[in-house]
Amino acid sequence: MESLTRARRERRRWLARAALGAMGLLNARAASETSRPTARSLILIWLDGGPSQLETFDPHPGARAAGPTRAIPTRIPGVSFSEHLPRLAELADRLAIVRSMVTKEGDHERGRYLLKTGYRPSPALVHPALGSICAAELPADGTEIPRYLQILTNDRLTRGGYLGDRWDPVAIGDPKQPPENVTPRVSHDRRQRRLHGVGVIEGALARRAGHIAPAILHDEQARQANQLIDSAQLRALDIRQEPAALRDRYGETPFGRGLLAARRLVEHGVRCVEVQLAGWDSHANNFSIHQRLAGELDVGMSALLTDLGQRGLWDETIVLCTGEFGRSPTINGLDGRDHWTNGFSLVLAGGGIRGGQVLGETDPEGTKPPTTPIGIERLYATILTSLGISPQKQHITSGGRPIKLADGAPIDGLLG
Amino acid sequence: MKRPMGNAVWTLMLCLGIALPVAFTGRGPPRRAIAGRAVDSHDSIDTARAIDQRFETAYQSRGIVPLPTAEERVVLRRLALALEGRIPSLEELRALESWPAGERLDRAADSLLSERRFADYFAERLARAFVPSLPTENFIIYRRNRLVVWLADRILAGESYGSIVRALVADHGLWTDHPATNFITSHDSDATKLATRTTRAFLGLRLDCAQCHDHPFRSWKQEDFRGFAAFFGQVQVGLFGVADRSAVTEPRMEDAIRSAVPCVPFAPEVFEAGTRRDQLAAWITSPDNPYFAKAIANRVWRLLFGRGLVEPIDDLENPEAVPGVLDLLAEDFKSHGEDLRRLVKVMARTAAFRRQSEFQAAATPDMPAVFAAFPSTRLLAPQVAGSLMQVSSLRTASARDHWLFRLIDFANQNDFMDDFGDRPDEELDERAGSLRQRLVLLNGRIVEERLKPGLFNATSRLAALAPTDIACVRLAFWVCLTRDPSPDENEYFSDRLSGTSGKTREREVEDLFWELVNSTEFSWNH
Repeated sequence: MESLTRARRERRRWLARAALGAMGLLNARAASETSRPTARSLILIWLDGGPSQLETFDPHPGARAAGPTRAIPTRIPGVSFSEHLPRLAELADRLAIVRSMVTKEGDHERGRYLLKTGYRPSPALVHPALGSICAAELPADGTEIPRYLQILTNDRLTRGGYLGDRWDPVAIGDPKQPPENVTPRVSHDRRQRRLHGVGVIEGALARRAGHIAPAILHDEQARQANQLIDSAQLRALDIRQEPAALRDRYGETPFGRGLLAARRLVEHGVRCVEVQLAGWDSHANNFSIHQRLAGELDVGMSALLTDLGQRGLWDETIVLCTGEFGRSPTINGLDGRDHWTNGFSLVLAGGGIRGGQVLGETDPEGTKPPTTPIGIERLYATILTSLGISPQKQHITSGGRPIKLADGAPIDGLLG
Repeated sequence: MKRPMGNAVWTLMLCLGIALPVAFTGRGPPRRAIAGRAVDSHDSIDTARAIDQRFETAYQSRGIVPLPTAEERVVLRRLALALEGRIPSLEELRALESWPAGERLDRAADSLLSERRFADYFAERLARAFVPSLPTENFIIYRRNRLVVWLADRILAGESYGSIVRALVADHGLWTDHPATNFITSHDSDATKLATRTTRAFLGLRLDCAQCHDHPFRSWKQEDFRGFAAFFGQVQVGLFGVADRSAVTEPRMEDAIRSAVPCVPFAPEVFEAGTRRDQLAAWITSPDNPYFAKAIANRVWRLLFGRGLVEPIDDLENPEAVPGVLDLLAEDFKSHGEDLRRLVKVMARTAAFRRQSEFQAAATPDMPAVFAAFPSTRLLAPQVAGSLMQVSSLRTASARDHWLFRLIDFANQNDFMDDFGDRPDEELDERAGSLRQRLVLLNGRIVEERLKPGLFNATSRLAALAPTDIACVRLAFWVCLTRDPSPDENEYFSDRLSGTSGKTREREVEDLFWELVNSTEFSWNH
């Protein structure tokens, strides 16, 4: 009870701070204070299938392209969101909304690859996913559980790439269920004895074959796996430990539970958590699909942002919400919208990102390109910089070629 | 979808608990039937020796001393993994010993190559390069399975690889009675995707770069790509399946393909009459096409060695590890009916295939790259699954097993690969295992079920039948790692078994199996 009141008090304090932010007071202060990066973790809200910017963060009320979707005002004067996002509209002064993302990848798989790695697919090279970069480049700080987790995602595209397979994400499903295969099937003593037996076999191999580099990696994994099994940090995945009221705020859906687990994981030092909300590929029935999905996004994402703020995780957690592309301003014969890469929206928040601003402007009918078009490489440079990772940092691929983590400059004005 | 099926199988097994032992005892001694055409090995040794000579010359000029020949058991393990996706059974190890020295491995290869299970496994591995496998819709999965079965049938029948590829590229009709047409449907009949896949899968060349820009270091230009894609520009899928219509369908993103005239970047003289796809198929598979035979030779080499003579495997314009080997293989392939089994046989007889790996002897890091040491690679998910299924039985799991056993294996294998994270569309990647895969081996349900003592499980049978502790340890090592235990290992594990009996002994053997399965060696081809 006491903690509940405390939480409520914190919540009020944070909302007050948010309101201050709206007046620009806090941002001015933040800008002078945060010359060094503060973010330590990333939460990626992945809207798989390609959400419509018109039904989410970039409505064009009155235009032919809008269809039946109405717009509502937000906390940023003169900026509206679609009617499906009332809660996020209330938090808009904490968000940076980019409305002019432009890519050349209009195919789901290629688009996912681009958005999740910062590079276009190449037959010659597997680029590491953003989450793999976070896990590999940011310090572990005593985190025993895997530092890159995917919740509800099953895209088979996100990988450690040239950074190495040890940075592959660990994928889990709806956190309602405990994660798989982390509970030993035998008693503690028997397991210890078994592990000792494995050690005898590994020792014999080491004596026989001397130095085998790959075997060392294998050992490393066994060590990690065993550490995970023994780790008290596994509790991070147990969202049942959260108060029912908070779980309600996130929404009792797989996505809501995923976001709540993401917050808990970030608290335990996980460097990237990706939570997927899928089904946005609305070639038909665009409007009913977006009403449902955007509603779920609004509930979950607003709860997450508020929760991060209340727990003092706001500055150390950067939140990115995007899909692989947007949807066409033209409404097709099935009341649907098709793929659109020439001006779609994404949202950044927390982690030293200056909130309360909108970048780029799209043409209502999509006939003209957006103003200040922004490519994915600049998004990556922005996020990596906010995390204190130099986008210019180069790795040598197995083919002997140097490659930068992100091939662009940070987006102007987004970093505090 | 898969897990409920597994459960259903177990329920079924309970119901048939009485019928099973009868079925088991009724199976009698295992026999090997030679299905399809017998594998002709008459002069494959000549090609193998010529290849050895190439390697030898290269080693001498580079001052490399290759590792010596490995134990036959070790080579049998490589063969079984490459050809059937599993480690050898105790039964096979015994058979190997019983054959006359000097012909053991050749006989083992013949035996494996005659199995339906080889054809199924090899077809699946090839299909991973030929068609995408992402489970987008169930329908597509069924179609893919149909294609794989078709491919396996052709391999087992010894059909020429050229005619297999011609069917994939140019067949028309319904996907059910013309399974090869699923090559087209699995790429959404998209000209761009088909063109990219065709060059990569069948010619070992990458067109992807030409797709968006003129690649500075390759001779194929953007116009080549459009012209090449135009061969698939007439594909249409309708009520009567895959067909070619005269009007060009509109390609998705590239409207330039619409107006492109079909063209190939070299050897245009080998066109034949027929649809555009017929023409393309004839051009790809022509003996005058310098890439076709080399591409499949390199691919099959990689299936056996875990690493291609040219890497990446679909970029034949890269330098060869040892020049001339691919040419020898391609020539042998072309002059022997383009038989995939013959190709395997030649490779399995090379000294390179039978050399020790760094798991057996110290090697410098550059040696595996030129096959002076057998390259060690991590097993793929299906190989781990297949090996796990094999470990739980002393007999060889084969297509001739009772259907109920096969069904259980199938369901288990699929469940396992679900957990283990198989990525069938990424055949080309060398993957180290992930943490998740470690967890599956450490704590997974299927590992527990396959290893726990039970009526037909290897653990119970070894605990009951091995005459001594030392014999029990040795057999467990044979079953799981295909090798003898070292003196240290022998001492440690027979100590643990010493004085045990009944359930306690079964538990000890179960632990020993678990430990072997969780060792580095188990998860590697070496």
